[in-house]
Amino acid sequence: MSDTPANTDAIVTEHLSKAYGPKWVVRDLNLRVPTGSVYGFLGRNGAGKSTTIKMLTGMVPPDSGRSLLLGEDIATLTPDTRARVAYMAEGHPLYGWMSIGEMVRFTRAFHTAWDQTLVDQVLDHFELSRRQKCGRLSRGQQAQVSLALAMAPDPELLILDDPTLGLDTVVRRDFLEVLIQLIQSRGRTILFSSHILGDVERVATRIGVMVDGVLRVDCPTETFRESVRKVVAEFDGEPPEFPGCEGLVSWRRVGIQLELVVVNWTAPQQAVLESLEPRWIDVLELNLEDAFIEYTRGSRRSLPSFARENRHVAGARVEGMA
Amino acid sequence: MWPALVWKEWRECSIFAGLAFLALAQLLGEAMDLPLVRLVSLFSTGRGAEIPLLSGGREALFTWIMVLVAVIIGFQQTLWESWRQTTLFLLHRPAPRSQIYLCKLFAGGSLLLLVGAVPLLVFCLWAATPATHASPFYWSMSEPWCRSLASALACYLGAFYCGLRPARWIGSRLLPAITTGLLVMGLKYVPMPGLWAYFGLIVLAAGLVFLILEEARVREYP
Repeated sequence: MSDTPANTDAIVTEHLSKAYGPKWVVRDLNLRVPTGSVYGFLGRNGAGKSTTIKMLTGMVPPDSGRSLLLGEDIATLTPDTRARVAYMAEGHPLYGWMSIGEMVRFTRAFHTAWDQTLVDQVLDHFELSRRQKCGRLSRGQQAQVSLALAMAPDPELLILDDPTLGLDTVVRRDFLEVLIQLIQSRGRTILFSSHILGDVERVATRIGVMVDGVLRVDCPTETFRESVRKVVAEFDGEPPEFPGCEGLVSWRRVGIQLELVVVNWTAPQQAVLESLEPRWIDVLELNLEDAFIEYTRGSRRSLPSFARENRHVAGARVEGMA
Repeated sequence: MWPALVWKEWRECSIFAGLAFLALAQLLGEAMDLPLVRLVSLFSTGRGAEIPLLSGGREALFTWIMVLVAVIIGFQQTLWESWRQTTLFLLHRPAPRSQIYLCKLFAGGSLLLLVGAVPLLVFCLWAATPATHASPFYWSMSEPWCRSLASALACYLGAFYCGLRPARWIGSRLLPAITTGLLVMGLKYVPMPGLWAYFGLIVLAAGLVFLILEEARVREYP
């Protein structure tokens, strides 16, 4: 990775770190989100996603490192640049005593660019009355109002902290469809965190996976999905201890079977497994959700890191063990 | 954008400010024999039984009502916003953080002045009008009341700073408000020329505004 941020990166973080007491919540985060991409930011609870997003929006100052949004340091972000960045905080905080109409007018007062037609279209699409009090809206409706308010200033970059958290399946699907439409029609950069892998798979072009405050994965979604493999080997009796191999995430015995989760399954790993003389070996492809679960629930200390592919070389590259 | 933010702050604080306004209107209306509600009076038994602005008890109650509403508004503008997580929404608006907080302070301070100064002004104008009561009136008699207003403003800033400043437990969180309260009591009740008292209150207020802006700049909003 180059040391100088490329002009094509909407978000750049350099050695971003944050600790609360003795615990590092985010450690040495070097993240680049290319302009125009939809970046799914994944991780288990407490992995450091929300803290990273709050550092990106200037709500939490980092202990070390820096982050750039649209080429500008967040520590000195000008109001003009902030106006080009939309942020939907987790839980979609709105002023409960305001009606939707008042909320729109209040937000509009801060922006010079404001697409009222878009706000009306989004609110109409979700069948939201301007007179409804924000405090009486369901969680899904609050998300919909937040989305309308976030999109109205025509932002170049959207940062969404778990936007579909707590929404039921139908509302979530509808919300994402509108989000996709808005992205496609405007070609904006989006970084969003989520626990729901189906949502990420549907929307994201790239993903980053945080594990214990460290960014372990940063690659196109498809690359991640295709790289993680579950390998099952069956033995005549109790499976032997697996000696380990490059790219190994975890292994376990299940009856007479040995299950491995491996990044980039290739001939050398196959040879190691075959040396144990199993009856048969089956290599399974995983969907994103299974790949994510297998990758993040393994022994955390021995997780292999995905090297970030060199974007100057055609085709993505994912390496196994760091 | 500033009118929108000031309006929002006024609207959010309007319930407590309104209640305080009614309490003060009752307190001072009673002295003018024009109470909102006829109650058994704490301080006088009717028109002419009290020299306007010189009733220590009425002035003390005026002070305590003002200080109470000041502290409530100060906490409401900070803690309440933070509990609802709307700070994250507000601080992402395209405006400098210092200006957002200055705007909040302006809204809270102006509302407090409105709540206290309007009934007081009406009371003073009534007292200054001939034939309303059988006692002398000098504008200097209103000075302790004005000092109460200024003291309430300082207490408001102390409460605002308390609400903004994170702390591990309630004791250390309340430390700035307690310190401000003690300083304000000293400036209000220790005999000293009015000018010195106002100078002290201005220095205290300026210090608190500086601390508030600095805290707003460096604090985390997790």
